[in-house]
Amino acid sequence: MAIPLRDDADVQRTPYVTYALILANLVVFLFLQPVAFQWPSDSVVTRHHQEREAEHFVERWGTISCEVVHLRPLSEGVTCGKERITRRATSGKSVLVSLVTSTFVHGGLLHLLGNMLFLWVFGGAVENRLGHGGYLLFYLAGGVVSGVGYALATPSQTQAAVGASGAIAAVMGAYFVLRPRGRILSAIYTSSIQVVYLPAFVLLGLFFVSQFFLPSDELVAWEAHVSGMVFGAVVMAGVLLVSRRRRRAEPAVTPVGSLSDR
Amino acid sequence: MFAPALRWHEGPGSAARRVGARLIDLVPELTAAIVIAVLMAPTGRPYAGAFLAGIAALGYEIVTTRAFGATPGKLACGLRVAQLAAPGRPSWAAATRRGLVVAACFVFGGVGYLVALAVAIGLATSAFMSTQRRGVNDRLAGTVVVTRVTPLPVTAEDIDGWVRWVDRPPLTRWGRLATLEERRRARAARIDGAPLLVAWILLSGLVAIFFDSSWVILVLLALAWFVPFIVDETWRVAKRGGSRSHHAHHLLVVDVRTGRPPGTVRSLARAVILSLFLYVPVLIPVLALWIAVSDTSRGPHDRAGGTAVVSTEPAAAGPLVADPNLVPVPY
Repeated sequence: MAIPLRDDADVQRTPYVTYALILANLVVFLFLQPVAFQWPSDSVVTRHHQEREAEHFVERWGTISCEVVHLRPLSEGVTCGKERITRRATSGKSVLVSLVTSTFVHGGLLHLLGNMLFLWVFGGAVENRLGHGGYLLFYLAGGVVSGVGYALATPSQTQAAVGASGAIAAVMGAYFVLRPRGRILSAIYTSSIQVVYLPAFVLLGLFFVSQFFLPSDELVAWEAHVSGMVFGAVVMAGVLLVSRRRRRAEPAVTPVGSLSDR
Repeated sequence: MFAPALRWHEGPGSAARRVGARLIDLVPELTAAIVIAVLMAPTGRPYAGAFLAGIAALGYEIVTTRAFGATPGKLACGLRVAQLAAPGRPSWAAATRRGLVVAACFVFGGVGYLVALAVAIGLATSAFMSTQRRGVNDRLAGTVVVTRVTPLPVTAEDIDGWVRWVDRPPLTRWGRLATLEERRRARAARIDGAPLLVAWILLSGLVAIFFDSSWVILVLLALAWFVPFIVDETWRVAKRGGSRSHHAHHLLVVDVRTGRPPGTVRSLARAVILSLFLYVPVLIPVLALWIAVSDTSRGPHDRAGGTAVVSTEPAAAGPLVADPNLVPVPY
Protein backbone atom coordinates (compact mmCIF):
# COMPACT_ATOMS: atom_id res chain seq x y z
CA MET A 1 0.00 0.00 0.00
CA ALA A 2 1.43 3.37 -0.98
CA ILE A 3 -0.07 6.40 0.73
CA PRO A 4 0.69 9.77 -0.86
CA LEU A 5 1.71 12.48 1.58
CA ARG A 6 2.63 15.51 -0.50
CA ASP A 7 3.55 16.43 -4.03
CA ASP A 8 6.20 18.84 -5.23
CA ALA A 9 4.06 21.01 -7.52
CA ASP A 10 4.73 24.72 -7.48
CA VAL A 11 1.24 26.19 -7.49
CA GLN A 12 0.63 29.87 -8.05
CA ARG A 13 -2.99 29.86 -6.92
CA THR A 14 -3.95 28.71 -3.44
CA PRO A 15 -6.31 25.75 -4.01
CA TYR A 16 -9.31 27.25 -2.25
CA VAL A 17 -11.83 24.96 -3.93
CA THR A 18 -9.88 21.86 -2.86
CA TYR A 19 -9.85 23.12 0.72
CA ALA A 20 -13.54 24.00 0.51
CA LEU A 21 -14.38 20.54 -0.81
CA ILE A 22 -12.42 18.91 2.00
CA LEU A 23 -14.22 21.10 4.52
CA ALA A 24 -17.59 20.31 2.95
CA ASN A 25 -16.96 16.57 3.12
CA LEU A 26 -15.84 16.86 6.75
CA VAL A 27 -18.88 18.92 7.72
CA VAL A 28 -21.30 16.53 6.01
CA PHE A 29 -19.77 13.51 7.73
CA LEU A 30 -19.41 15.07 11.17
CA PHE A 31 -22.60 17.08 11.42
CA LEU A 32 -25.13 15.96 8.80
CA GLN A 33 -24.73 12.21 8.61
CA PRO A 34 -26.42 10.10 11.29
CA VAL A 35 -24.59 9.59 14.55
CA ALA A 36 -24.07 5.90 13.86
CA PHE A 37 -21.23 6.73 11.49
CA GLN A 38 -19.26 8.29 14.34
CA TRP A 39 -19.86 6.35 17.48
CA PRO A 40 -22.37 3.54 17.86
CA SER A 41 -24.10 3.69 21.19
CA ASP A 42 -23.32 0.99 23.74
CA SER A 43 -26.89 -0.12 24.21
CA VAL A 44 -27.90 -2.95 21.87
CA VAL A 45 -31.36 -1.59 21.17
CA THR A 46 -30.11 1.92 20.35
CA ARG A 47 -27.37 0.55 18.13
CA HIS A 48 -29.86 -1.38 16.02
CA HIS A 49 -31.99 1.72 15.61
CA GLN A 50 -28.98 3.84 14.72
CA GLU A 51 -27.73 1.33 12.19
CA ARG A 52 -31.08 1.31 10.46
CA GLU A 53 -31.05 5.09 10.42
CA ALA A 54 -27.61 4.97 8.82
CA GLU A 55 -28.77 2.46 6.19
CA HIS A 56 -31.76 4.60 5.27
CA PHE A 57 -29.57 7.67 5.02
CA VAL A 58 -27.19 5.95 2.65
CA GLU A 59 -30.03 4.61 0.52
CA ARG A 60 -31.58 8.06 0.36
CA TRP A 61 -28.46 9.98 -0.63
CA GLY A 62 -26.18 7.37 -2.19
CA THR A 63 -25.94 6.01 -5.71
CA ILE A 64 -27.85 2.80 -6.33
CA SER A 65 -26.91 1.30 -9.70
CA CYS A 66 -30.32 -0.19 -10.38
CA GLU A 67 -31.93 3.20 -9.90
CA VAL A 68 -29.47 4.95 -12.21
CA VAL A 69 -29.96 2.39 -14.95
CA HIS A 70 -33.74 2.68 -14.79
CA LEU A 71 -33.81 6.36 -13.72
CA ARG A 72 -36.42 5.55 -11.08
CA PRO A 73 -36.04 5.44 -7.28
CA LEU A 74 -36.41 2.00 -5.75
CA SER A 75 -39.45 3.10 -3.75
CA GLU A 76 -41.52 2.79 -6.93
CA GLY A 77 -40.67 -0.86 -7.35
CA VAL A 78 -37.93 -1.64 -9.87
CA THR A 79 -36.87 -4.93 -11.39
CA CYS A 80 -33.19 -5.33 -10.63
CA GLY A 81 -31.69 -8.42 -12.13
CA LYS A 82 -34.20 -11.13 -11.39
CA GLU A 83 -36.39 -9.72 -8.63
CA ARG A 84 -38.53 -6.67 -8.13
CA ILE A 85 -37.19 -4.43 -5.35
CA THR A 86 -39.06 -1.82 -3.37
CA ARG A 87 -37.30 0.30 -0.76
CA ARG A 88 -39.39 2.78 1.12
CA ALA A 89 -36.32 4.69 2.30
CA THR A 90 -35.78 6.02 -1.19
CA SER A 91 -39.20 7.60 -1.66
CA GLY A 92 -39.02 11.15 -2.93
CA LYS A 93 -35.45 10.65 -4.09
CA SER A 94 -34.15 12.24 -7.25
CA VAL A 95 -31.82 9.77 -8.88
CA LEU A 96 -29.79 12.40 -10.74
CA VAL A 97 -29.29 14.50 -7.61
CA SER A 98 -28.18 11.39 -5.74
CA LEU A 99 -25.28 11.05 -8.18
CA VAL A 100 -23.96 14.34 -6.82
CA THR A 101 -24.87 13.95 -3.16
CA SER A 102 -23.26 10.52 -2.95
CA THR A 103 -19.95 12.25 -3.62
CA PHE A 104 -20.18 14.01 -0.26
CA VAL A 105 -21.37 11.08 1.87
CA HIS A 106 -18.90 8.65 3.38
CA GLY A 107 -19.31 5.31 5.07
CA GLY A 108 -16.79 5.74 7.87
CA LEU A 109 -14.06 7.95 9.26
CA LEU A 110 -11.23 6.03 7.63
CA HIS A 111 -13.05 6.12 4.28
CA LEU A 112 -13.44 9.89 4.62
CA LEU A 113 -9.89 10.61 5.79
CA GLY A 114 -8.32 8.42 3.14
CA ASN A 115 -10.27 10.15 0.39
CA MET A 116 -9.51 13.61 1.77
CA LEU A 117 -5.79 12.87 1.93
CA PHE A 118 -5.73 11.89 -1.75
CA LEU A 119 -7.77 14.98 -2.64
CA TRP A 120 -5.44 17.23 -0.71
CA VAL A 121 -2.31 15.79 -2.34
CA PHE A 122 -3.51 15.71 -5.94
CA GLY A 123 -6.10 18.49 -6.04
CA GLY A 124 -3.73 21.44 -5.79
CA ALA A 125 -1.96 21.04 -9.10
CA VAL A 126 -5.14 20.19 -10.99
CA GLU A 127 -6.98 23.19 -9.58
CA ASN A 128 -4.01 25.38 -10.45
CA ARG A 129 -4.34 24.32 -14.09
CA LEU A 130 -8.11 24.32 -14.45
CA GLY A 131 -8.91 27.41 -12.41
CA HIS A 132 -11.21 27.47 -9.41
CA GLY A 133 -14.55 27.37 -11.25
CA GLY A 134 -13.47 24.87 -13.88
CA TYR A 135 -12.02 22.63 -11.20
CA LEU A 136 -15.25 22.63 -9.20
CA LEU A 137 -17.29 21.72 -12.29
CA PHE A 138 -14.72 19.06 -13.17
CA TYR A 139 -14.88 17.57 -9.68
CA LEU A 140 -18.68 17.35 -9.65
CA ALA A 141 -18.75 16.02 -13.20
CA GLY A 142 -16.19 13.41 -12.18
CA GLY A 143 -18.44 12.31 -9.37
CA VAL A 144 -21.41 11.99 -11.71
CA VAL A 145 -19.48 10.20 -14.46
CA SER A 146 -17.91 7.72 -12.07
CA GLY A 147 -21.32 7.01 -10.56
CA VAL A 148 -22.80 6.41 -14.00
CA GLY A 149 -19.85 4.24 -14.96
CA TYR A 150 -20.30 2.18 -11.81
CA ALA A 151 -24.04 1.85 -12.49
CA LEU A 152 -23.52 0.71 -16.06
CA ALA A 153 -20.97 -1.86 -14.92
CA THR A 154 -23.17 -3.26 -12.14
CA PRO A 155 -26.76 -2.68 -13.33
CA SER A 156 -28.41 -5.06 -10.90
CA GLN A 157 -26.66 -3.74 -7.78
CA THR A 158 -29.13 -2.56 -5.15
CA GLN A 159 -26.65 -1.63 -2.43
CA ALA A 160 -25.96 2.09 -2.32
CA ALA A 161 -22.49 3.37 -3.12
CA VAL A 162 -21.18 6.47 -1.40
CA GLY A 163 -17.93 8.32 -1.29
CA ALA A 164 -15.90 10.93 -3.06
CA SER A 165 -13.50 8.37 -4.50
CA GLY A 166 -15.03 8.59 -7.97
CA ALA A 167 -14.54 12.35 -8.18
CA ILE A 168 -11.10 12.05 -6.59
CA ALA A 169 -10.21 9.36 -9.12
CA ALA A 170 -11.04 11.92 -11.80
CA VAL A 171 -8.66 14.38 -10.14
CA MET A 172 -5.99 11.67 -10.02
CA GLY A 173 -6.53 10.85 -13.69
CA ALA A 174 -6.12 14.52 -14.55
CA TYR A 175 -2.95 14.71 -12.43
CA PHE A 176 -1.57 11.66 -14.25
CA VAL A 177 -1.86 13.51 -17.58
CA LEU A 178 -0.82 16.90 -16.20
CA ARG A 179 2.31 15.97 -14.20
CA PRO A 180 3.24 12.36 -14.88
CA ARG A 181 6.77 12.88 -13.60
CA GLY A 182 5.87 14.90 -10.54
CA ARG A 183 7.46 13.54 -7.38
CA ILE A 184 5.00 12.38 -4.75
CA LEU A 185 6.29 11.76 -1.26
CA SER A 186 4.69 8.46 -0.32
CA ALA A 187 4.65 6.17 2.67
CA ILE A 188 5.00 2.59 1.49
CA TYR A 189 3.94 -0.16 3.79
CA THR A 190 6.16 -3.19 3.50
CA SER A 191 6.56 -4.83 6.89
CA SER A 192 7.46 -1.39 8.22
CA ILE A 193 6.86 2.04 6.77
CA GLN A 194 9.29 3.55 4.29
CA VAL A 195 8.86 7.12 3.11
CA VAL A 196 10.17 7.72 -0.42
CA TYR A 197 9.58 9.96 -3.42
CA LEU A 198 7.68 8.19 -6.18
CA PRO A 199 7.03 9.56 -9.66
CA ALA A 200 3.33 10.32 -10.05
CA PHE A 201 2.91 8.02 -13.02
CA VAL A 202 4.17 5.09 -10.97
CA LEU A 203 1.89 5.76 -8.01
CA LEU A 204 -1.18 6.58 -10.06
CA GLY A 205 -0.51 3.92 -12.66
CA LEU A 206 -0.22 1.29 -9.94
CA PHE A 207 -3.42 2.55 -8.35
CA PHE A 208 -5.25 2.24 -11.66
CA VAL A 209 -3.93 -1.24 -12.41
CA SER A 210 -4.52 -2.49 -8.89
CA GLN A 211 -8.22 -1.67 -9.22
CA PHE A 212 -8.59 -4.61 -11.57
CA PHE A 213 -6.99 -6.99 -9.10
CA LEU A 214 -8.82 -6.14 -5.90
CA PRO A 215 -10.23 -9.18 -4.10
CA SER A 216 -13.90 -9.36 -5.01
CA ASP A 217 -15.12 -9.75 -1.45
CA GLU A 218 -14.08 -6.19 -0.65
CA LEU A 219 -16.90 -3.63 -0.81
CA VAL A 220 -14.99 -1.22 -3.03
CA ALA A 221 -16.64 0.29 -6.10
CA TRP A 222 -13.57 -0.15 -8.23
CA GLU A 223 -15.57 0.40 -11.41
CA ALA A 224 -16.19 3.95 -10.19
CA HIS A 225 -12.46 4.49 -9.65
CA VAL A 226 -11.61 3.24 -13.11
CA SER A 227 -14.28 5.23 -14.93
CA GLY A 228 -13.45 8.34 -12.89
CA MET A 229 -9.74 8.11 -13.69
CA VAL A 230 -10.38 7.61 -17.38
CA PHE A 231 -12.74 10.59 -17.41
CA GLY A 232 -10.23 12.80 -15.62
CA ALA A 233 -7.38 11.78 -17.91
CA VAL A 234 -9.46 12.43 -21.04
CA VAL A 235 -10.62 15.85 -19.82
CA MET A 236 -7.13 16.99 -18.86
CA ALA A 237 -5.69 15.68 -22.13
CA GLY A 238 -8.34 17.68 -23.96
CA VAL A 239 -7.59 20.83 -21.96
CA LEU A 240 -3.86 20.53 -22.62
CA LEU A 241 -4.36 19.86 -26.34
CA VAL A 242 -6.69 22.82 -26.78
CA SER A 243 -4.35 25.17 -24.95
CA ARG A 244 -1.37 23.94 -26.97
CA ARG A 245 -3.24 24.54 -30.21
CA ARG A 246 -4.19 28.01 -29.05
CA ARG A 247 -0.60 28.84 -28.23
CA ARG A 248 0.53 27.67 -31.66
CA ALA A 249 -2.08 29.86 -33.33
CA GLU A 250 -0.70 32.99 -31.67
CA PRO A 251 2.27 34.72 -33.31
CA ALA A 252 5.52 33.64 -31.78
CA VAL A 253 7.25 36.99 -32.12
CA THR A 254 5.60 40.25 -31.11
CA PRO A 255 6.18 42.85 -33.83
CA VAL A 256 8.25 45.76 -32.62
CA GLY A 257 6.25 48.86 -31.83
CA SER A 258 2.89 47.18 -31.50
CA LEU A 259 0.85 47.40 -28.32
CA SER A 260 0.67 43.80 -27.22
CA ASP A 261 -0.72 43.02 -23.81
CA ARG A 262 1.41 39.90 -23.44
CA MET B 1 32.05 40.04 3.02
CA PHE B 2 30.26 37.97 5.60
CA ALA B 3 28.58 40.03 8.30
CA PRO B 4 27.74 38.22 11.52
CA ALA B 5 24.02 38.04 11.69
CA LEU B 6 22.58 37.17 15.07
CA ARG B 7 23.80 38.33 18.43
CA TRP B 8 23.95 36.04 21.39
CA HIS B 9 20.66 37.20 22.86
CA GLU B 10 18.86 36.98 19.53
CA GLY B 11 17.84 33.97 17.49
CA PRO B 12 15.65 31.02 18.45
CA GLY B 13 14.15 31.23 21.92
CA SER B 14 15.43 29.04 24.72
CA ALA B 15 13.71 25.84 25.75
CA ALA B 16 12.33 27.41 28.91
CA ARG B 17 10.69 30.25 26.99
CA ARG B 18 9.15 27.91 24.45
CA VAL B 19 7.69 25.60 27.08
CA GLY B 20 6.37 28.56 29.08
CA ALA B 21 4.77 30.07 26.00
CA ARG B 22 3.11 26.78 25.09
CA LEU B 23 1.77 26.32 28.64
CA ILE B 24 0.32 29.84 28.67
CA ASP B 25 -1.30 29.24 25.28
CA LEU B 26 -2.78 25.98 26.47
CA VAL B 27 -5.02 27.80 28.95
CA PRO B 28 -7.42 29.40 26.46
CA GLU B 29 -7.12 26.50 24.02
CA LEU B 30 -7.93 23.88 26.64
CA THR B 31 -10.75 25.97 28.04
CA ALA B 32 -12.31 26.24 24.61
CA ALA B 33 -11.89 22.50 24.05
CA ILE B 34 -13.59 21.66 27.35
CA VAL B 35 -16.45 24.08 26.72
CA ILE B 36 -16.95 22.59 23.26
CA ALA B 37 -16.86 19.07 24.68
CA VAL B 38 -19.50 19.95 27.25
CA LEU B 39 -21.72 21.65 24.67
CA MET B 40 -21.36 18.83 22.15
CA ALA B 41 -21.89 16.00 24.66
CA PRO B 42 -25.69 15.73 24.25
CA THR B 43 -25.40 15.50 20.45
CA GLY B 44 -23.52 12.23 20.67
CA ARG B 45 -21.01 13.26 17.99
CA PRO B 46 -17.58 12.93 19.59
CA TYR B 47 -15.64 13.30 16.33
CA ALA B 48 -17.51 16.49 15.54
CA GLY B 49 -16.62 17.82 18.99
CA ALA B 50 -12.94 17.02 18.51
CA PHE B 51 -13.06 18.66 15.08
CA LEU B 52 -14.55 21.85 16.53
CA ALA B 53 -11.94 21.91 19.31
CA GLY B 54 -9.27 21.68 16.64
CA ILE B 55 -10.89 24.50 14.67
CA ALA B 56 -10.97 26.66 17.81
CA ALA B 57 -7.26 26.05 18.48
CA LEU B 58 -6.49 26.67 14.80
CA GLY B 59 -8.38 29.96 14.80
CA TYR B 60 -6.65 31.09 17.97
CA GLU B 61 -3.20 30.34 16.56
CA ILE B 62 -3.83 31.84 13.12
CA VAL B 63 -5.53 35.04 14.22
CA THR B 64 -3.06 35.90 16.97
CA THR B 65 -0.02 35.03 14.86
CA ARG B 66 -1.26 37.18 11.99
CA ALA B 67 -2.36 40.06 14.20
CA PHE B 68 0.57 40.31 16.59
CA GLY B 69 3.24 38.15 14.99
CA ALA B 70 2.96 35.76 17.96
CA THR B 71 0.40 34.10 20.17
CA PRO B 72 -0.23 35.71 23.59
CA GLY B 73 1.80 33.00 25.30
CA LYS B 74 4.80 33.71 23.09
CA LEU B 75 4.42 37.45 23.55
CA ALA B 76 4.40 37.02 27.31
CA CYS B 77 7.68 35.07 27.10
CA GLY B 78 9.34 37.55 24.78
CA LEU B 79 9.13 35.50 21.61
CA ARG B 80 7.76 36.04 18.15
CA VAL B 81 7.18 33.95 15.07
CA ALA B 82 9.34 35.01 12.13
CA GLN B 83 9.00 33.81 8.58
CA LEU B 84 12.35 32.80 7.12
CA ALA B 85 13.84 35.43 4.81
CA ALA B 86 10.83 37.72 5.17
CA PRO B 87 10.32 40.74 7.42
CA GLY B 88 7.18 41.43 9.37
CA ARG B 89 4.53 38.98 10.45
CA PRO B 90 4.13 35.49 8.99
CA SER B 91 1.87 35.12 5.97
CA TRP B 92 -1.61 33.61 6.15
CA ALA B 93 -0.34 30.41 4.58
CA ALA B 94 2.51 30.07 7.08
CA ALA B 95 0.28 30.89 10.05
CA THR B 96 -2.28 28.32 8.86
CA ARG B 97 0.32 25.59 8.41
CA ARG B 98 1.74 26.29 11.87
CA GLY B 99 -1.70 26.22 13.40
CA LEU B 100 -2.73 23.01 11.64
CA VAL B 101 -0.18 20.97 13.58
CA VAL B 102 -1.46 22.29 16.91
CA ALA B 103 -5.04 21.73 15.76
CA ALA B 104 -4.19 18.14 14.81
CA CYS B 105 -2.87 17.54 18.34
CA PHE B 106 -6.18 18.80 19.72
CA VAL B 107 -8.24 16.69 17.34
CA PHE B 108 -6.41 13.48 18.13
CA GLY B 109 -6.00 14.30 21.77
CA GLY B 110 -9.59 15.36 22.16
CA VAL B 111 -11.03 11.99 21.30
CA GLY B 112 -11.24 10.77 24.87
CA TYR B 113 -7.67 11.45 25.94
CA LEU B 114 -5.94 14.21 27.84
CA VAL B 115 -5.73 17.05 25.39
CA ALA B 116 -2.91 18.76 27.24
CA LEU B 117 -0.79 15.65 27.18
CA ALA B 118 -1.22 15.22 23.44
CA VAL B 119 -0.36 18.82 22.64
CA ALA B 120 2.56 19.02 25.02
CA ILE B 121 4.14 15.78 23.87
CA GLY B 122 3.58 16.46 20.21
CA LEU B 123 5.02 19.92 20.20
CA ALA B 124 7.72 19.37 22.81
CA THR B 125 9.30 16.44 21.03
CA SER B 126 9.11 18.19 17.71
CA ALA B 127 10.41 21.60 18.82
CA PHE B 128 13.33 20.11 20.75
CA MET B 129 14.48 17.71 18.10
CA SER B 130 16.96 20.27 16.86
CA THR B 131 18.92 23.21 18.19
CA GLN B 132 16.99 25.43 15.80
CA ARG B 133 13.97 24.83 18.04
CA ARG B 134 11.85 24.38 14.95
CA GLY B 135 9.11 21.84 15.35
CA VAL B 136 7.09 20.07 12.73
CA ASN B 137 4.80 23.09 12.54
CA ASP B 138 7.70 25.46 11.90
CA ARG B 139 9.22 23.27 9.21
CA LEU B 140 5.91 22.99 7.40
CA ALA B 141 5.37 26.73 7.51
CA GLY B 142 8.93 27.90 6.91
CA THR B 143 8.97 29.90 10.14
CA VAL B 144 11.17 30.07 13.22
CA VAL B 145 10.35 31.29 16.71
CA VAL B 146 12.85 33.94 17.78
CA THR B 147 13.20 36.37 20.64
CA ARG B 148 11.40 39.69 20.26
CA VAL B 149 14.59 41.71 19.99
CA THR B 150 15.77 39.84 16.91
CA PRO B 151 15.83 42.12 13.89
CA LEU B 152 13.90 40.73 10.93
CA PRO B 153 14.28 39.32 8.32
CA VAL B 154 15.97 36.17 9.57
CA THR B 155 17.30 33.84 6.90
CA ALA B 156 18.04 30.14 7.01
CA GLU B 157 21.76 30.93 6.87
CA ASP B 158 21.46 33.10 9.97
CA ILE B 159 19.82 30.22 11.79
CA ASP B 160 22.47 27.79 10.60
CA GLY B 161 25.20 30.13 11.82
CA TRP B 162 23.42 30.52 15.15
CA VAL B 163 23.15 26.76 15.49
CA ARG B 164 26.86 26.31 14.86
CA TRP B 165 27.56 28.99 17.47
CA VAL B 166 25.32 27.41 20.09
CA ASP B 167 26.06 23.79 19.36
CA ARG B 168 29.73 24.54 18.94
CA PRO B 169 30.38 21.08 17.64
CA PRO B 170 33.88 20.21 18.73
CA LEU B 171 36.78 20.78 16.43
CA THR B 172 38.59 17.46 16.39
CA ARG B 173 41.83 16.56 14.69
CA TRP B 174 39.80 15.05 11.86
CA GLY B 175 37.69 18.14 11.38
CA ARG B 176 34.65 19.83 12.82
CA LEU B 177 32.01 17.35 13.95
CA ALA B 178 28.73 17.51 12.06
CA THR B 179 25.60 18.86 13.76
CA LEU B 180 22.41 16.88 14.04
CA GLU B 181 20.77 19.14 11.48
CA GLU B 182 23.45 18.50 8.88
CA ARG B 183 23.31 14.76 9.48
CA ARG B 184 19.52 14.75 9.35
CA ARG B 185 19.54 16.57 6.01
CA ALA B 186 22.10 14.21 4.53
CA ARG B 187 20.20 11.15 5.71
CA ALA B 188 16.87 12.47 4.42
CA ALA B 189 18.42 13.11 1.02
CA ARG B 190 19.96 9.67 0.99
CA ILE B 191 17.25 8.07 -1.04
CA ASP B 192 16.91 10.92 -3.54
CA GLY B 193 18.32 9.94 -6.88
CA ALA B 194 18.41 6.26 -5.99
CA PRO B 195 15.74 4.90 -8.34
CA LEU B 196 16.76 1.29 -7.91
CA LEU B 197 16.33 1.48 -4.16
CA VAL B 198 12.96 3.18 -4.58
CA ALA B 199 11.84 0.57 -7.10
CA TRP B 200 12.90 -2.17 -4.69
CA ILE B 201 10.91 -0.65 -1.84
CA LEU B 202 7.89 -0.30 -4.13
CA LEU B 203 8.16 -3.91 -5.15
CA SER B 204 8.19 -4.91 -1.51
CA GLY B 205 5.10 -2.81 -0.97
CA LEU B 206 3.33 -4.61 -3.79
CA VAL B 207 4.26 -7.97 -2.35
CA ALA B 208 2.83 -6.83 0.98
CA ILE B 209 -0.49 -6.02 -0.66
CA PHE B 210 -0.96 -8.98 -2.90
CA PHE B 211 0.26 -11.71 -0.62
CA ASP B 212 -1.32 -12.59 2.65
CA SER B 213 0.66 -11.01 5.45
CA SER B 214 1.66 -14.22 7.11
CA TRP B 215 4.75 -14.45 9.30
CA VAL B 216 6.87 -15.79 6.48
CA ILE B 217 6.02 -12.95 4.13
CA LEU B 218 6.68 -10.32 6.79
CA VAL B 219 10.07 -11.77 7.63
CA LEU B 220 10.98 -12.03 3.94
CA LEU B 221 9.92 -8.42 3.36
CA ALA B 222 11.98 -7.27 6.34
CA LEU B 223 14.99 -9.12 4.96
CA ALA B 224 14.33 -7.55 1.56
CA TRP B 225 14.81 -4.15 3.17
CA PHE B 226 17.62 -4.94 5.58
CA VAL B 227 19.93 -6.80 3.25
CA PRO B 228 20.17 -4.22 0.42
CA PHE B 229 20.35 -1.35 2.90
CA ILE B 230 23.11 -2.91 4.99
CA VAL B 231 25.09 -4.01 1.95
CA ASP B 232 24.77 -0.64 0.24
CA GLU B 233 25.50 1.39 3.35
CA THR B 234 28.50 -0.74 4.33
CA TRP B 235 29.99 -0.55 0.86
CA ARG B 236 29.53 3.21 0.53
CA VAL B 237 30.84 4.08 3.98
CA ALA B 238 33.80 1.71 3.84
CA LYS B 239 34.84 2.67 0.34
CA ARG B 240 34.14 6.39 0.24
CA GLY B 241 33.30 7.46 3.77
CA GLY B 242 29.67 8.13 3.11
CA SER B 243 26.90 8.08 0.54
CA ARG B 244 26.50 10.59 -2.24
CA SER B 245 24.23 12.73 -0.12
CA HIS B 246 26.80 12.76 2.70
CA HIS B 247 29.36 14.18 0.27
CA ALA B 248 26.83 16.59 -1.18
CA HIS B 249 26.31 17.97 2.32
CA HIS B 250 30.05 18.11 2.97
CA LEU B 251 29.97 15.27 5.47
CA LEU B 252 32.45 12.47 5.89
CA VAL B 253 32.23 9.34 8.02
CA VAL B 254 35.58 8.71 9.64
CA ASP B 255 37.10 6.11 11.93
CA VAL B 256 37.83 7.93 15.20
CA ARG B 257 41.25 6.29 15.44
CA THR B 258 42.56 7.10 11.99
CA GLY B 259 40.46 9.89 10.52
CA ARG B 260 39.98 7.87 7.32
CA PRO B 261 36.87 5.96 6.17
CA PRO B 262 36.26 3.01 8.52
CA GLY B 263 37.06 -0.53 7.49
CA THR B 264 34.50 -3.02 6.27
CA VAL B 265 33.86 -4.64 9.65
CA ARG B 266 33.25 -1.34 11.39
CA SER B 267 31.06 -0.11 8.54
CA LEU B 268 29.06 -3.30 8.73
CA ALA B 269 28.47 -2.96 12.46
CA ARG B 270 27.49 0.67 11.95
CA ALA B 271 25.12 -0.19 9.11
CA VAL B 272 23.44 -3.00 11.04
CA ILE B 273 22.65 -0.82 14.06
CA LEU B 274 21.58 2.07 11.85
CA SER B 275 19.25 -0.13 9.83
CA LEU B 276 17.50 -1.28 13.00
CA PHE B 277 16.85 2.30 14.08
CA LEU B 278 15.68 3.44 10.66
CA TYR B 279 13.41 0.47 10.10
CA VAL B 280 11.21 0.89 13.15
CA PRO B 281 9.58 4.32 12.75
CA VAL B 282 9.28 4.80 16.53
CA LEU B 283 13.05 4.52 16.90
CA ILE B 284 13.83 7.35 14.49
CA PRO B 285 13.19 10.10 17.09
CA VAL B 286 15.25 8.03 19.55
CA LEU B 287 18.12 8.06 17.07
CA ALA B 288 17.81 11.82 16.61
CA LEU B 289 17.70 12.49 20.35
CA TRP B 290 20.69 10.21 20.93
CA ILE B 291 22.75 12.24 18.48
CA ALA B 292 21.41 15.51 19.89
CA VAL B 293 22.39 14.79 23.50
CA SER B 294 25.73 13.29 22.58
CA ASP B 295 28.50 15.83 23.01
CA THR B 296 30.30 14.35 20.02
CA SER B 297 27.19 14.09 17.81
CA ARG B 298 27.52 10.32 17.67
CA GLY B 299 24.56 7.99 17.59
CA PRO B 300 24.33 4.32 18.56
CA HIS B 301 25.47 3.29 15.11
CA ASP B 302 28.54 5.51 15.42
CA ARG B 303 29.36 3.93 18.78
CA ALA B 304 28.94 0.46 17.33
CA GLY B 305 31.31 1.21 14.49
CA GLY B 306 33.71 3.48 16.32
CA THR B 307 33.04 6.23 13.80
CA ALA B 308 32.16 9.90 13.83
CA VAL B 309 30.80 12.21 11.17
CA VAL B 310 32.80 15.33 10.43
CA SER B 311 32.03 18.27 8.22
CA THR B 312 34.43 19.06 5.42
CA GLU B 313 32.92 22.48 4.88
CA PRO B 314 35.37 25.37 5.12
CA ALA B 315 34.82 27.03 8.49
CA ALA B 316 32.22 29.79 8.50
CA ALA B 317 33.81 33.22 8.69
CA GLY B 318 34.23 34.25 12.29
CA PRO B 319 32.13 33.82 15.39
CA LEU B 320 29.01 35.84 15.97
CA VAL B 321 29.47 39.26 17.54
CA ALA B 322 29.26 38.75 21.28
CA ASP B 323 28.57 41.29 23.97
CA PRO B 324 31.68 43.51 23.91
CA ASN B 325 31.91 43.18 27.69
CA LEU B 326 32.46 39.44 27.33
CA VAL B 327 35.55 37.84 25.93
CA PRO B 328 34.62 36.05 22.73
CA VAL B 329 35.14 32.31 23.02
CA PRO B 330 37.64 31.18 20.42
CA TYR B 331 36.24 28.70 17.96
